[in-house]
Amino acid sequence: MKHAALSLFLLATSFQLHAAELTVQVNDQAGNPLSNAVVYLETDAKPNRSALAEANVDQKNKQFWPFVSVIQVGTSVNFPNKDSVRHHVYSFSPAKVFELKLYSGVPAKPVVFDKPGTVILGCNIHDNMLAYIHIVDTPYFGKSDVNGIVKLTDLPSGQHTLKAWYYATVKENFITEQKIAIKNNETVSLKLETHN
Amino acid sequence: MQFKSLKSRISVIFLSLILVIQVLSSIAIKLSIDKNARRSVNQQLEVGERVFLNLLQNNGESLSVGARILAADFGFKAAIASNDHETILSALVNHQSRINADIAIFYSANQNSLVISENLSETEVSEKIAEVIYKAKSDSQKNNFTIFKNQPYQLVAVPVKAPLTIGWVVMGFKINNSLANTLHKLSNLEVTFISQAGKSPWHSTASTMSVGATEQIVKYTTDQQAFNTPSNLELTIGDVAFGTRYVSIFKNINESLYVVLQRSIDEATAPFQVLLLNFLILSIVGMLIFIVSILYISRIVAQPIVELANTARKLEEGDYTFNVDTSRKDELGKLSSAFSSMRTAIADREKSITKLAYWDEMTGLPNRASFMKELNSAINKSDVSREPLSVLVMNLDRFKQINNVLGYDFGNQLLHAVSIRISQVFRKDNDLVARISGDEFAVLLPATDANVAVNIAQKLLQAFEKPVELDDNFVDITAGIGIASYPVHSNQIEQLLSFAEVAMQVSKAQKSGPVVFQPSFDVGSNVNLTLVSELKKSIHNNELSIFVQPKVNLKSRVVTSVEALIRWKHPTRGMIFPDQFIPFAEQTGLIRDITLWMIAEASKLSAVWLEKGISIPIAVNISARDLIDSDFPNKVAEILKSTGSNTSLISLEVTESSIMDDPHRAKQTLLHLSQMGIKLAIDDFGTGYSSLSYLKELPVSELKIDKSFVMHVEQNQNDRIIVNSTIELAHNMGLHVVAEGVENIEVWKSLQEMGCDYGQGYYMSRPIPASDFEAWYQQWV
Repeated sequence: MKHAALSLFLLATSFQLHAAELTVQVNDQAGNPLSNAVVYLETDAKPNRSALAEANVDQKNKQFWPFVSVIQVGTSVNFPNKDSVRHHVYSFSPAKVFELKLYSGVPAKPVVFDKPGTVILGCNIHDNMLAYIHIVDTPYFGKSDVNGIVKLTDLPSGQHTLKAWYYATVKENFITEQKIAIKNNETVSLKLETHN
Repeated sequence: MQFKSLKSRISVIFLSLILVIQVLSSIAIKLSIDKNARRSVNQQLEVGERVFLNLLQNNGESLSVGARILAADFGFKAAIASNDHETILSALVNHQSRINADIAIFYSANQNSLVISENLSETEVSEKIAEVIYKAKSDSQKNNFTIFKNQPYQLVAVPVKAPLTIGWVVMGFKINNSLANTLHKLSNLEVTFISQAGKSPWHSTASTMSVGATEQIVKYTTDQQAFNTPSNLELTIGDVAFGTRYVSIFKNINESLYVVLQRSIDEATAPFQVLLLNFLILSIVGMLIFIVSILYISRIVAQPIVELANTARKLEEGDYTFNVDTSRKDELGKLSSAFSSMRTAIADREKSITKLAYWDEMTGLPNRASFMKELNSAINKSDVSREPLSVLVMNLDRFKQINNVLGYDFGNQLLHAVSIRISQVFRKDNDLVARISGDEFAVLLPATDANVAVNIAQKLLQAFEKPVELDDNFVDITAGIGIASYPVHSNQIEQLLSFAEVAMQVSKAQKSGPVVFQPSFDVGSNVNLTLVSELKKSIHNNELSIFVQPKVNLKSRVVTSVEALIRWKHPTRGMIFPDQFIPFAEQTGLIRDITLWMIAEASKLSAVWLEKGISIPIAVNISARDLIDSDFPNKVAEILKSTGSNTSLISLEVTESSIMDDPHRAKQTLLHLSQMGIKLAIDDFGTGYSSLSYLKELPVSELKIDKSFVMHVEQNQNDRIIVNSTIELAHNMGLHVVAEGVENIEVWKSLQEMGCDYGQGYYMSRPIPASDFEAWYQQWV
């Protein structure tokens, strides 16, 4: 689903841009590949927002799934409960305060995240349940895989700002950023200081 | 230690023992109580510490639970998210009151701000809260303490998660009197909290002790830094010693908080003190009972021993009349019985020993020892009454011969009969008759002088004039009696008796009835001892000389023989007659030398006379001692040989009594002499008790009738009968008869008529010196 949404989005924007690609290798301070790191590129142009953008954060085995999500501002996120127990999903994060009181199955309405920032998801029933949604105001974003690699595609060439967020940086909620020039396919390495 | 009695020894030993035991056990108990009390106090303090820590733990948990409930409250989280200060504070106060906490604080991580339920400013607490939270992050279970404005708190910090930590709820209890009292109730210990924050001095936060005591603890803590002492210590507050334990609650660079746990040692020992008191009371009661028992027991044991000791002392003194209590059944009873039978046995034995010692069994008379004892006490009495006393000794004549001839049994019976007869003569109450040796009796005559004693002795002799009849035998008893008197003769008992015995010997020799002791009798006296020694020398000093008395044929007036008589011309005492020294010579044995001297002198004399044509045999008297000397005949032969004399010129005369001393040996000697050709004559015939049948066996040729029969022969019919019958008997036995004591012509005529062969006496001549004989002889012829 996510993949489909992303393809659709890329398709929609491709005509304006050169189809440059940026491969980011994310490592921690020890040089190990770091997964679940959010990497995104901000351009000067006002980004397009799609009202149709959707995302899911499942609850399965009393865990949020995925643990880290990255979405563009305006994305509706569903919280389907795939457990037999009920969950009470909430966020006190300033980016989006919401509460889905005890429910099972898929809530009637998805939650629209209309501000950039980080939302920390919890469950009032299960203190251990934790997930992050990082909301970015750019269509060029990705999340590092197990090899620490993020590929950003269809990037317009030019001078941009490359940003990265990780849920467990030494500086809490710290966003690294750097200027980057996109001409062709680029490759860049990022080193994030993590605390675990 | 020396004890005068078994009783006190037993008492003192046992009392000391029990006293030592009591004292030692008291000390041991006291020490043990103190030790136990202190150990108990220490244990209580240690337990108190654990109780306290447990209490803190419980309080911490209670705080933790309260804080967690608040931290988990969604509404609270929502209030935090919305940064609703008012709501947050009210929630804090609400939850604080739920668990009766004293303080509740919220720390917002996002805002880095504090919400505080109490009246404390953020600046006063922020730093310390941060520290508390920091500690809680590493160990959420750990008790947290801090001091706000000198007030210590126990705090618990709990994170608020949404779901990440968005802040911390801190809840706390004050460390105050309430906690101290709770701990006191739980542990029964005195509890004082003392703290020090920054540079301020030590200070007591809360205490179950009085203000003064608390001040002392603070002072002591300040002065001694006592909290550094790892173990328990003893702290005296006022007059009370407290076991004291410092327990550190928390400590950092600036701040310290201690709880001081205390327990009064006196209080801890109090129950033991009651125990000790009870023990002492029991001990004293026990001691009293023991003392009474010991005194009683020692009395039971010692009293009979004391009595037995007294008994033994009486035995020692010779008192056998007491009674011994033998009623007891125990060992002492047995001892008493043994004492009792010992007393009886000793008494019996002493009785028989006394009897043996002082009584003559055969005659039933007292013996010599008894007589001496009585004599001694009689002399003592005489000293008091100033009256004389006399000792009379009687010795039976011829007793030896009676024993020899008639046997010992007869002799014993005779002694018994004699003792009865003697006893009949004397006053039973005063006079004491004793048998002092074989045939010798002694009589103690108190208040009697020598003269009276002589009369009594005469009476005694009269009592024996009648023969004693034994087994159809009639025995004539004659005896010598000697008398010695106290104090004239001696004042010593032994000597007195011995003097009486000497007098008795004289009496026997003289045959003249009782003899009173004269100093001259006493061989042992100084005078007589000198005489004896002088007599020895007299032989060599030519002080002895021979007198002679002729023996004349009564028909033909021819001098047939002379009797040699000894005279001693003492250089200072003059002429001494034989009866004064011959008894000593007999006693000392000197008589044998004298006899031999006489024989020698007589031999020489006869030899001289023979040269002058006078051929008259000389008769020499020999003694009993000579007769028992078997060598005597040889000695005579030697003398005769050496002097050139011969047996026809010497004849020997023996007295009847000297033969009877030892008839057997006398007979042997006489036979020997007779075989040598020496004529033998019996002297003093009639005074002894020899039987004619015995004399018949002796080799004698002549019989000399004692002058006591002869002197009054012409007047006394009895004498005449005796002399006449003797002459007739002697002639019948083939013996010549010599009559002694011819003092006048009438006697001569009578004897002549009776057919007597020879006469000797003053009528013819007194004894004259040998040198005068020639002249007398010329004249007589």
